[in-house]
Amino acid sequence: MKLFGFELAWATAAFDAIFPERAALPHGIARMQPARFLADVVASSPLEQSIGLRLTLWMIALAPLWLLRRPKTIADIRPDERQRVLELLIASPVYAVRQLVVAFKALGSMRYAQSPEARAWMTTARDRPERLVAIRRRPSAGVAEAPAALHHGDAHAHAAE
Amino acid sequence: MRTPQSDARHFPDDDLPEGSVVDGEQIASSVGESFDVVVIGSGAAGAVAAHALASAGFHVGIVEEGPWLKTRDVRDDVHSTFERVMRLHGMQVLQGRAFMPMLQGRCVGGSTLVNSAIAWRAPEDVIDDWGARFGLSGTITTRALEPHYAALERDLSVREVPPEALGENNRLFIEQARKHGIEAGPMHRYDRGCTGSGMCITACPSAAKQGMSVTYVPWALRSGRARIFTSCRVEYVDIRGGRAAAVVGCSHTGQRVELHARHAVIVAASTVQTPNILRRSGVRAAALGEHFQAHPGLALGGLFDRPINMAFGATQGAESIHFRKSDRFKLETISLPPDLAAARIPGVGTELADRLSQLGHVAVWAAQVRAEAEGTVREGWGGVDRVRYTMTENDMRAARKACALIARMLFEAGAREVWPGVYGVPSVLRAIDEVKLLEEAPLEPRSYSFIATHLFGAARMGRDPSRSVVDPDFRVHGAAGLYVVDSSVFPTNLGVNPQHTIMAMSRLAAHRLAERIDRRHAA
Repeated sequence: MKLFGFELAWATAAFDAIFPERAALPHGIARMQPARFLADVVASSPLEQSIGLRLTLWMIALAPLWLLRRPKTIADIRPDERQRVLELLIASPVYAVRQLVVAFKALGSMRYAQSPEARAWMTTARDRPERLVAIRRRPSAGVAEAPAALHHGDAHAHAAE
Repeated sequence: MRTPQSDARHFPDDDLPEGSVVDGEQIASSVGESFDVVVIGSGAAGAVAAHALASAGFHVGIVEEGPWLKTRDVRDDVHSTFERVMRLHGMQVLQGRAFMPMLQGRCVGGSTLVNSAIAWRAPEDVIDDWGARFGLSGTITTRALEPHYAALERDLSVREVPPEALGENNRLFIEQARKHGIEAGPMHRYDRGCTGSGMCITACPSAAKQGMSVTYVPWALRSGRARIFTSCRVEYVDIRGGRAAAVVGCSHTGQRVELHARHAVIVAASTVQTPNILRRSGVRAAALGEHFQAHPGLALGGLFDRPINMAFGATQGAESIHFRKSDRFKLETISLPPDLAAARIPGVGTELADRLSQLGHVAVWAAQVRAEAEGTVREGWGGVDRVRYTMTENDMRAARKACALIARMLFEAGAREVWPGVYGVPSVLRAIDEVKLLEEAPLEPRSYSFIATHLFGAARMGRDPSRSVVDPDFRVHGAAGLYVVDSSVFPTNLGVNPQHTIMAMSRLAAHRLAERIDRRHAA
């Protein structure tokens, strides 16, 4: 099972929202060709798992339609909006939705951890507490809120990870 | 990413006798051979049985569905390992009210290649229960198992995690548990020189972990009386005239592999695969595929100001069975590599990156529930293994209590954030007062992120053929020469890690079989 070019673009955008450039890690995932990685996993996985992965990709790609009420795909919206969409999906009240998106995040994590630089960074303890990075909550200004019926509370009101 | 090792160290899975390994990825034509005994599976159960029988002088053929990942080829990233050695690349799930990932090794050594090598003898109350409820007293007893446990402990160097390999994640857990009045201590593991690489999940890079692919399998092959056929999937056991006569399978290259058994076929393919192999072989028993049980596990992360450094220390090095009887759960530590931790850490984007950049300050503690739930194992369309399983409300109460307890312990140990991973509860708890939210969390399997690693039943043992699949001598009811020795014969789950008991039961079965064959020859 092969992914089309537009699906690869969706995958790149979705993975980039999870592991973006210019964050507290050495680099983003985009430079690691995560879409190609996904395509390889889809191609080498058993049929049922391949279909599940592809379905997840389509769900994430088209989520802006119902979460942001905008006729755009994940690749066509701003990076901060992509992050918001993924946060909402992971906190979705629909079990299958949040589980599939967590599985997608897990796949991205496996790819990202293949970077020696990122791996070394993540597994190194900081020697002094003051060198710890303050955890930033992503500002939601400028991002359309999802209808209340689709999710409850903010991205951390519920967990799926 | 670490590349395969090119150093000069010698590992136990190097330099095996010529011809002792038949690689199913290289087989170019059909294979037909005869052995005294054919063993299906090379995990904890199969490897031990094969070694015991080879040591007793029998010629043994081992059939393994997966490849052999040699120590020299071990990599430290999860994806590369899982893709090669895990069933369905690690994407297998139990299906029921919730989906529960189910990790099974599919390689030489089976799950012993990728587990934490934790050794626990079966609790006496469990063995007594088997005796009382399933008629096994007199055959499966603590006394009968004792010499086998002892032999395994000698062979595989069972020892407590040494202080120099404990690591902070484990040390802190023990300290905190004891402050709570909870009995806890370092684990006992199959370990010959652990250096605390924290890589048990992706296979040990130094062969210090005494998994089957660096112990009993190579030992059996070196005896000169065993051969292993890797990357060969068993289709069925050929039962002729009521006796198991051969194992029929297919190599990765599509070639037929037929191994004839002069005395016996031993099925040790795991709780999920064994029932389906028996079914494809024509075994019809009402209990086949029923009574599947597990130890669903869940883990909570805590973010500390001070370094924890999970990357160093035994992957799983500390535990407590304090609540095993009273609340049916066991507490453990587990050091998650970044590949897996990233998926469990709350947030995406900058927030996830912030937390991941502090992974060196994260501790992960876990619980496994001795769930009372029973499920079924079937074969789905296209030969896919299907396991249906849903935890009961009692199981969920145990899980919820364990979650709240771990969260409280993490906060008391100094965590500034705790990540419970329970839907319906904030994904980030920032104060110990918030633990009460976990105590009131939904009793809904879909709210939790369980993972199933310990699997039992589905071909269980008993005297009554209408309620069991194998008899107390591990023989399949009504099929001469066909034995099952893996955890599918366990009448119930254990409440502790099962590898040690799987191996002890298998060793017991192999010794009894060897004696039986010898007696028959003598007669």
